[in-house]
This record gives sequence, structure tokens and C-alpha cells, in this order.
Amino acid sequence: MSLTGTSPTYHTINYNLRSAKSIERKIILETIRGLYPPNEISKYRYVGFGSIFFADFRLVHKELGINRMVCIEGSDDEQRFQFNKPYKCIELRMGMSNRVLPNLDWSCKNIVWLDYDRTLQPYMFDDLETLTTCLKADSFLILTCNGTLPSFRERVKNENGQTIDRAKIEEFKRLFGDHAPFEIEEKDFSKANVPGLLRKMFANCIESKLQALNGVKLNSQKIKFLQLFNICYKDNADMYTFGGLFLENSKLRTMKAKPEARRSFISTGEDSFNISSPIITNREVDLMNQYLPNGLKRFLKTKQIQFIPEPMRQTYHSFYRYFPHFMEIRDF
Amino acid sequence: MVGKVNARPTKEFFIDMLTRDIRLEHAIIDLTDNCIDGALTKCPTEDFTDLWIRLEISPNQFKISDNCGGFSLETAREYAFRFGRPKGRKDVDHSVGRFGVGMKRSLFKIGEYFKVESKCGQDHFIVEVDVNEWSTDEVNWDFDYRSGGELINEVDEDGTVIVVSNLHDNIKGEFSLSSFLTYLKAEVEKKHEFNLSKGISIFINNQKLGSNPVKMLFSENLKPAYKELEYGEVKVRIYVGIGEASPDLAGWYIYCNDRLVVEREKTNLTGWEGRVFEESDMIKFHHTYAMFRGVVFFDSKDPKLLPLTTTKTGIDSNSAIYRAVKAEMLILMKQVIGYLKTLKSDEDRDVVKADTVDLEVKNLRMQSYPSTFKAPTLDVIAKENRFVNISFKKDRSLVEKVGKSLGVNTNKEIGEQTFDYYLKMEVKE
Repeated sequence: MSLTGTSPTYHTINYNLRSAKSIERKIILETIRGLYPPNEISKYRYVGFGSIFFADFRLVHKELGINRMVCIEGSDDEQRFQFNKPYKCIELRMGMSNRVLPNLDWSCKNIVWLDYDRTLQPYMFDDLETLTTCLKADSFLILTCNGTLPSFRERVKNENGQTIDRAKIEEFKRLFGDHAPFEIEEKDFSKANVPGLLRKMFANCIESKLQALNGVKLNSQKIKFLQLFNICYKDNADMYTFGGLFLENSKLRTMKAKPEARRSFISTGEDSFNISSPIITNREVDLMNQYLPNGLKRFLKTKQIQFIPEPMRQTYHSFYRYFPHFMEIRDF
Repeated sequence: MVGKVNARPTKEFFIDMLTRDIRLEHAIIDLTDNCIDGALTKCPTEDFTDLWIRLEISPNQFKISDNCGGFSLETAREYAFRFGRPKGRKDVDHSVGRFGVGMKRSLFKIGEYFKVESKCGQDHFIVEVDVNEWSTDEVNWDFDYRSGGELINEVDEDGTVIVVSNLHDNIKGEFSLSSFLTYLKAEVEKKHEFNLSKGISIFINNQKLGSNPVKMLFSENLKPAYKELEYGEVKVRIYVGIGEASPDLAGWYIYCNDRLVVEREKTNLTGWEGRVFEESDMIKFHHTYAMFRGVVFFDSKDPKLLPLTTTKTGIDSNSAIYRAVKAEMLILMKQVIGYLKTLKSDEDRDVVKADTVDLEVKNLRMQSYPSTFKAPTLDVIAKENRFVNISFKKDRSLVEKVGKSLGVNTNKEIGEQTFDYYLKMEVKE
């Protein structure tokens, strides 16, 4: 989704070629598919920000069999988006997400992916609040944004005259109001800690809205948010994805126990999962595939692949099932 | 060592303290709420056509009388005059009285001497209290009543008459102001708009009250968004839409059992204010939103379940039910706010009003609507509207000359007549 004054990422990058993003999409879809049977999932609606490539929409339609899809687009290129819509079942809604979301009908179950390309903005919390109120139990909510906070640091001189880099905590608090954690401190603004800060803010926002909505419900009917995705990945920018599933309290335990909710890339807590995409050639891929599946240790020790750097081998082992294959096709 | 500390209430707490929490006009409206409760018991079908409430207000005396059924001697003995509602007390269905504080607080607020007379079937009695005298005895909290032949009969049909005298000085002052009476009239009209529409007549010093309902603009292309919710025995209906552009009238209106509790509300209580950010949709009230109207009805047989404060002029914002409803109100409000942001000028706001009717909320309630707000976009209105505006600037002296020649005064007329002239002389039909 683009916003006034910024250049949308689809102008600078072909979405189909972002391999970390591609891995993330497949991981998320596989999780969703594992948690609910196909005949249930196919009745869901998918709401996303398709960009002109509609990569997530293509995948959702093909992999999950979903026929009801809404694409929200904030730019003015309506004609271009209509042209690029890959399927007729995609309804295009032009406008910013915080305007469009409250106007949608939320009577069915949904998978909503707010795939922002900007850094943290206050309107993201509006969208989270809207969706927490509107989404029915068994719906998925996923949010992706840039995983850095560039505008909240300033260079100032300390009492010794040295220039130091300081987080603008007050400005951050002013901008995000009570979404800013009460105990926020300087170190939360470091590059390594920003994903943790984002997770905390998104989770708190959902939790406080749920608390308001749950006060009038019986214990078994109270809605809980089961966090599943807490992912950092990087194609050209550091990105962060937070997401999970709204569930009735009575279903929480069984859902948590499902193997699909316990996979290595699922994070129900504070520790994020990192996706890194190995930079390797197609021939190396073919070679390594001959020794997979295999346990990590045995795979790493395989003689025939020793010339490939170990970090590449290691990463490939983690993601080979989701690793995208790109090739140039001439005269297509 | 263990022992006891005194935690018993004092009469002064009720006479001097609780009375500070309520404004005079609301204390009076609280007394009218009791009349309405009587009406609900007498006419469960809610046809109040033959019922009336009369308020007579002067610097010497305050009197409220009604023919709404009165209350029985048993009710008087066990509940009506108790401070606080006893456990197990069955409330009037769909009432707004639930705390057992309203009537006494109102009487103490107004004066130092009161007389309550009630006729209800076979029961006919008077409770008469000199507040100063009563307050001197810390142990005995009871009021005396008398019934039987010696009553001066003010009531000929079932109903209640309350007279308060020895008014407090500040109250005397208020009661002598016609501005207070005007304000009170407007407040009662608003708070009891629905009861007035059910046929009850309310008079203040012989002036009959009319109703002054909230209205929303309505047409085939402009329909409010609606959501109905049920939380146990509480039914909630939310309507949002647009009305005449008026920063004063804009905002939320919240009714509990058809009694208006909060009106024109534009604070954080109803999701306005709080945080304001350029790209965020958190909303601070602004002229752009002068057309916003939101109406919420909370209805419950059991008034204890409603999110009312004791003065009935506020919403208990921490109540579980209100917190849940507020989240839903916000979603509906965002739809209308998003639309209002597309109207950039007063002219745009006027254009939207074209071909709409101003619908009273009680008529709005006759039907249900989808949960999405329906409103025409400006370009659609423009297409449907066969009229367009022309505007241009010309030298003032030339315009005056043309005006003189045409024999008209306003620039608008000059524009229209020169256009018509050109059309007639130069353009073939």
C-alpha cells in the first residue's frame, strides 16, 4: 500500500523477486492451511494490500482456494490496478486502509494481511483496533511493516561535548499516545530491539481492545489472540511481521497444541523468528536438494556440498521447502 | 487488640454532600423520571396519551404532580424513601431509577421542607418532612406518614404530588430566573423526547412541552449505518449518519431505556479526542464533522444493567457493557468521519443535503439498516444535479454599472440576468 508523499515499493522492486518475502508468505500460508481444514478455509475472505503484482492474492487463491478477496489500495492508479487484477474474484477498494476497513462487511471469517511498507505509523493502530473489533473468532490478522524506526533518533552533544545518538522518546510517546509502552526506554530504539518494541505495541493494542470487548462475555466465549507470527526478514529493507489468530477461549488450548502451531517458525512469545534467504545459484540448489530432506548436522557434513559456504547451507536447510526459484524466461 | 471503628453514614452526607453532585435541572428531571416509572407500571403498552406531569416552580415553592399511578403504601414503607436500593427489590421494568437516591437527593437539593402525597388504588398517604428537624436525630432515620380521613386531598386520580418549600437561597434565586425555566424546559424536552412522543403531556408553569428530537438526513442514497447488539438482557442499537451541519448539535446521543442520558457528546467518552494524528483516524472534533450524528439506545428490563451514573446525566465509562459498545460505536463512527472528510467546504456539505429529508430518531427506529453507511460521493451528486455554479471576478466599478443598467442590487442577480440575456439573445434553443 502506498501513502501520499512516498513512493510505493512496487515502483522500486518486483514483488515476485523478493525471496525472503516469498518464504514468509509460504510459511504463513502453510500455517493457516495446517490449522483449519481446506473446506473451512476456502470459505474465508482474504483482505490485503495487493500492490500491482498481487503476489499474495495469487498464492492465497491457488493455495487456500479462497474466492472472496478484497484488495485495498491507497494510490490513485485505479486503472492500473484493475488491469493487473489476476482474478475476477478480487474486489478492489481504493482508499487508505483506515478509511476502507471500517466500511467492509465483517460477517464472515477473514484472513487479513496489512502489508504496509512504511515504518511504524499511528494509523496502523487504528487498523488493528478496527480489526480487533470487527474480526470474528477463527480469523487471522497479520501485519507487516518496516522493522526500523529511523525518525526517532537525534544527534545531540552531551555534557562532555561529545556527539551522541539519542532516542527521541518523548516525541515517540507524543505520536503514539498510550500505544507507547509505559516502560519504554532508550535501548528499545536500538536496531536489534525495534522488532521487540513493535511486537509489544501491536500485542498490547490488540489486548486492550479485546479486554474492552470481552468484559461482557462469558469466560468460554471471550476472544483471545493467539500470536503465531513474530518474524524479521530482509530483502532490501528490514521488515517485521506480527500476526496470529483470534479464537474463542474454549478453543485456545486445542489450537495451541496443534503441531502446526508449534513449528520452528511459529513464535507465540517475545523471541522473533528470522528469515534470511541464502544467495545461491540454481545449480547449487539442485545439488543440495539431492541430499534433502536430512537432519541438519548430517546435511552440513555432506562432502559433496562443502564448497558452498556454511551459512548458506544452513539457511538453505531451514527454508528449502519455501525457497523460491527465479529464472529469466525469454520471449515469454 | 481488636475493636470497631465507626463507619455509619451521617444524614449530612445525604443532605449536604450528595446533593452537590447533581445540577438543579437534573435533580428536577430525576423527579420526573419517577413519574415516568409510574406511567410504565400503569400503562405497560407505553401509550401515555392520557397521562400528564405538571411542574409548578416559583421562588417560594416547588411542586410536581402527576396522574401516573402513584405508589403504594407498601412501596413507600419499604423502598421509596430508603437511602439506597434494598437487595431483592424488584425494579419497574425498563425504568431508569435503580439507585434509590434520586428522589431524596432532589428534595434535599431544592429545599428544607417537603411533602409527598400519593394515591394508588386503595392507598392514599402523605409523607411530610422538616429536613432540619429530621437531621438533628442521628439515630432515627424514618420519615412519618399519615393516611386516612384528615388528608387535604390534592390528588383525585391515582398519582403523586410533591411540594417542596423553605427553598434554599440559591434555589430561590434560580427559580426566579426565567432563563432557568427556559433551560429546564429545553432539558426536559430533550431528556424525555421519547416519552413525550409516547403521548404524555408535561407542563412547566402551565406551558406545555414539545419534543425536540435528534434528526438525521435521509434519502435513497443517504442512509445511516446501524448495528444491533445483545449482551444478556441488554439490547443495544447504534445508528450513525449525518444531520444538518451544526458544530453544536453534532456528536453522540445516548439513551438508556428511552431516557436521553448524554447528548451532543464529543469527548473521549464517545471516542472523540484523545489522540490526534495527521494520518491516524483518531478524531478531534472539528468543523468538518459538524454533520456527524450518532445515536445509541441501551434497553433493558432491569435498569441495573444499564451503564448509567447515579445522576443519569452520564455514562459509566468503565462499565463492561459500555466499553464493548464503545468499540462498536468507533467502527461505525469511522465510516461517517471518513465520508465527512471528503466534504471539503460548506458548499459540499450543502450539496449532500439536496433531496434529503430530516428524519426524527423515533422514525429512524422503525426500520433496520445495514452496518455500512450509505452516502453519495460528491461526483455522483454532481452528475445527478443539473445545476452548476459559475464564478468569476470583474472590476467593481464595471459590475456596479451593469447592476445599475439591469436595475438589480446583488452580484448574484447581475450574474443570473446577464447570463439569461446572453442565452436569450445569442444562443439558439
